[in-house]
Amino acid sequence: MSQSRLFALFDRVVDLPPAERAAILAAECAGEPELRAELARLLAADGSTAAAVLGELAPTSSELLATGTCVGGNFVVEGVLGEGGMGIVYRARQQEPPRVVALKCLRPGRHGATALARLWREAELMARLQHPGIAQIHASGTLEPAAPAAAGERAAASPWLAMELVDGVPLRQALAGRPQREQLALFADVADAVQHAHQLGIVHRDLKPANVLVHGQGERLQAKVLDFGIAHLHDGDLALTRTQDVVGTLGYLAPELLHGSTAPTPRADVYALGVMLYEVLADRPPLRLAELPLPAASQRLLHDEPPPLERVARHVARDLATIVHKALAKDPARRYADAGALAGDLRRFLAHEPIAARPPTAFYRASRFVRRHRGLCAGTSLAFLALLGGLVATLLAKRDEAASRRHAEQLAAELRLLVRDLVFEVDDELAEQPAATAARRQLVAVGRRYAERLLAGSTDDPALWFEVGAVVRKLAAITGVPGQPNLGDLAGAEPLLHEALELLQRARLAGLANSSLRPILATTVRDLAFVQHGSGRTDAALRTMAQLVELVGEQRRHFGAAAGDELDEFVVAERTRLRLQAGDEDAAMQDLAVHRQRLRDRAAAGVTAAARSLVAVEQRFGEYHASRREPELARQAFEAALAHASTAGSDGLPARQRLAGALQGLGSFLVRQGELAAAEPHLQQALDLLRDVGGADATEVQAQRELARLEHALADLHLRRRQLVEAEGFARQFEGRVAALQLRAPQHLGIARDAGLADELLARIAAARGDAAGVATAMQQAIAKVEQRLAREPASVAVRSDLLRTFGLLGQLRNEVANAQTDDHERARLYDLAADALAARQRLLEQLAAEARLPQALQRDHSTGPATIEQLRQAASRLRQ
Amino acid sequence: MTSSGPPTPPSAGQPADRPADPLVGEVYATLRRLARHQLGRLPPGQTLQATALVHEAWLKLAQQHHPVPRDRFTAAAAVAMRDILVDRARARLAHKRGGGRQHVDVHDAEPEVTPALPIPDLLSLDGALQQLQAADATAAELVMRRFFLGETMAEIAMHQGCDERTAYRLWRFARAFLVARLGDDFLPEGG
Repeated sequence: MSQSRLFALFDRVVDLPPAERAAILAAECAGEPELRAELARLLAADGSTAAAVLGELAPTSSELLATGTCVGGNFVVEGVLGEGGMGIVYRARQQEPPRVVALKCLRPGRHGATALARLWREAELMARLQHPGIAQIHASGTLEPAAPAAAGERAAASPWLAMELVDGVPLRQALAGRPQREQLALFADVADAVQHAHQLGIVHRDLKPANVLVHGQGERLQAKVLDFGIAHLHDGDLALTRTQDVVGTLGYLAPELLHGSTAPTPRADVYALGVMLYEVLADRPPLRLAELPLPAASQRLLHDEPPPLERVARHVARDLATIVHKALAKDPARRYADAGALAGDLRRFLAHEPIAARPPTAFYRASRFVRRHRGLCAGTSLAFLALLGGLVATLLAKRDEAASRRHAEQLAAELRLLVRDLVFEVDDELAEQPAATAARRQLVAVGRRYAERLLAGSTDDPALWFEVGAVVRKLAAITGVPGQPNLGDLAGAEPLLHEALELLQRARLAGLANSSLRPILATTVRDLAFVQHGSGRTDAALRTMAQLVELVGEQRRHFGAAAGDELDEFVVAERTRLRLQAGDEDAAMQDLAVHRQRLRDRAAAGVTAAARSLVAVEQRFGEYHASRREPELARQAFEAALAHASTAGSDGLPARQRLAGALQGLGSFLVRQGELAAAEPHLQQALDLLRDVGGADATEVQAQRELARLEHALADLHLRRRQLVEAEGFARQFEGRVAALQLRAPQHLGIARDAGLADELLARIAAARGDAAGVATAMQQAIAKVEQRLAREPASVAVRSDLLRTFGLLGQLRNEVANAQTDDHERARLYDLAADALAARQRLLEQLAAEARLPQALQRDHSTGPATIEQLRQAASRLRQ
Repeated sequence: MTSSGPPTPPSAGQPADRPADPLVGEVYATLRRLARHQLGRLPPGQTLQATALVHEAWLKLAQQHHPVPRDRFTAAAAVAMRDILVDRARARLAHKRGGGRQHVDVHDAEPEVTPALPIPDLLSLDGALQQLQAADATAAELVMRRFFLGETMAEIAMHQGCDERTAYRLWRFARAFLVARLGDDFLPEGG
């Protein structure tokens, strides 16, 4: 690896005196004033951090205080007691009151004025700790640097603390070889001392054997805890810089503190006490970390359970092991709340009274096992499920037997954890696996069973209603809500959704404050509407959606206008979708027009989110007007969409997709208008934008669909220009992309529609070539695909309109190839197909007319038919002869 | 530094959504999948730790694919983690400025990932890092390893193929470079 010149020069001069630095830089940077200026900046910046960096590299000698130095006007240094990661400890003689103290000088750090002020406030707090088991802090101050700093450099101050000098031996050494009862009694004293601090809201943060000294002899042993809260005073430099130090301390660090993202609580001190107690009793650490590199050590700390104490140590009673393991729980919530609770249980044990701690349940151990060995279980979700399912059954039985109320509550809490694990995690795993139907069924059955039992055990618990409601909703989604992999059982999903809704509403009415409640409620209502719509009850679905309006108002009241708008957009979008699928396009667009006006107002007021939403809404209007043969309105809408897409912020990938979508919308419209030259640059630009979208992103399906639409538009463009080779190229790409999408999202209604469009494109290309056989084959497939969609959604007007359009296209293409040179049998096949199509079309039109849902554009076609069908049949039979 | 060091981090200085090294893309995707996967397991308000996440990604990739040398993997992971954190920070910023969320469905939400060291202003750091990348790619890689993966100096030296003393010298340089651009207070605790 080559060094950069900047680094090489910096490295060469950084430790030199200023005069030498200047000379070298002048020589090296002659004619390069920029390089020289940059180096000057870097060297100045190094000055502000040099002390800390040098502290990391070369600790002691230069910082050592000479014997006889007077610190803070009151403490005379007598010699060095020891040295640690944080600083040096001296033995010092205090003048007034006369006594010997331990003087701890912290390593100079980057302490600014405010940091120092905070530090001393906390030192004062610490000085208030007065307990025979805690080494008292007498005084504190700041050590001014001995030598004046070099010009331009800022020397760091070293804080110091004077504390009670404890003449003792480390805890483990003091306790080794003593009877267990003595060990435990002394340990309870240590816990009492720590509890004294906990009661004042002070956490030690760095409990370890070296910080607990024992003095005295025989029966009269006294333990003293040192360095209370000092780790915190200097935590700026207690970082992962010195591997040795960290690994040395790591053994006593509670897992939740490993990465420093949570503030230490008394439960962290409980953990450290647990480790120390385990070591005393077993003569080995609970987890062996010493030889491991840091990442492996932290992994072990996070995930490995210590071996059961009663197995590695002799003469440890089961209750005692339970106490120690409770203190060592990975999850702080499962530990003793503070050191006092630990001391209490130790004393109860010594007095042969029942202890408060309970051994971890079989479920808890097993679920940790499954978690740890997730890798082994990969691909065997069923086994995972069976295991958890069995545990649930055991747990439920136990809960019913549980004699004490507290025990029952503990079991209920474990069940609630299981809710999350089982339903959400397992379903995620299943999503990545083929043929997961059996596992999904089992998941729903097991999930249901214990959701019911959980509820049975509680009367007034809104948080539980919410949790179980969310789980039941998830189970319903797995059972049969369109739009995600599911069991396809709409009828089974509906009662589950009602149940979920009932629970969530109950939680809402009880005033549960949980910001996820309303979004989940909204999603549940939407799911219910989808299911009702999917089973042909669109009116019920629309009534269901109306419930959401009430939620919108509430959301606005609770979480402000923005949150209300967000939900509002969701409601309008879903309602429009439902109405469109129900064929009530005019009502949908009226609804959407109100929404569009609101979005326009907000966009005009500078709300970027509104402008972004407008892109899709305007495009929707473009399509709507285009289908009603209102080209000018359509053009305005498409152009407005493009304008908003070009200006609505630069949020990276989504912005590119929006812009490409708008370009594609306008481009496709222009193609259909026959304005091919105007359309082409738009489509080309969209293609360029979308080409590098994709990859592993979560929006990939969306990005792929847009790319597919674009290919469709380009195929159309070339087809109209009679550039059939290019047209077919794009059509095949479109077909392949849609087929791949369909494999990934088999339930997706829009993708199913695109698949039919691919066949229609190929049929049109075949017609342009005069290939009657090609037209017949492609149109047969196109019709089959729409009919498959109709089988899934028999009541959908939109699908039936699509079928009518496809039939119409077949008639049109038949005319186009009427005079082409084709084999007579092929032409006969086409004629028969067209006759079948016309007959089916006739039936559909009548059916729609009977439902009074015949789209306006088709009303005049209503009476075409029987004669044409007869003609086609005759022509076909003539051709066959 | 010797010439057998790991490859230069490939994508620094490029848009975060267009990684150049396919491995970075793969690690990025794995990290995001794992992060999303773990969302359901986290209590509300909890965040995922970068270090733990990267470690899991390593195990996952090691199980699934051809073995990638550890030094190459960590170089890619440092870049991928930077991309993820910077993407999140940008998204948060956009959200604050009224960008809003696109969907209501809470299950779309992704968990927060916290870097190995607490970094006050990721976006500023990212800008300075790109400058450092241009000035000295090895130093930039060192910073990413330290901040985003939480590697110790010993580990960095091992992965970057130099001795620990050299790593410290390089770190001192990188640190001065960043402090000159961002000020003394920006450095994360322990940085």
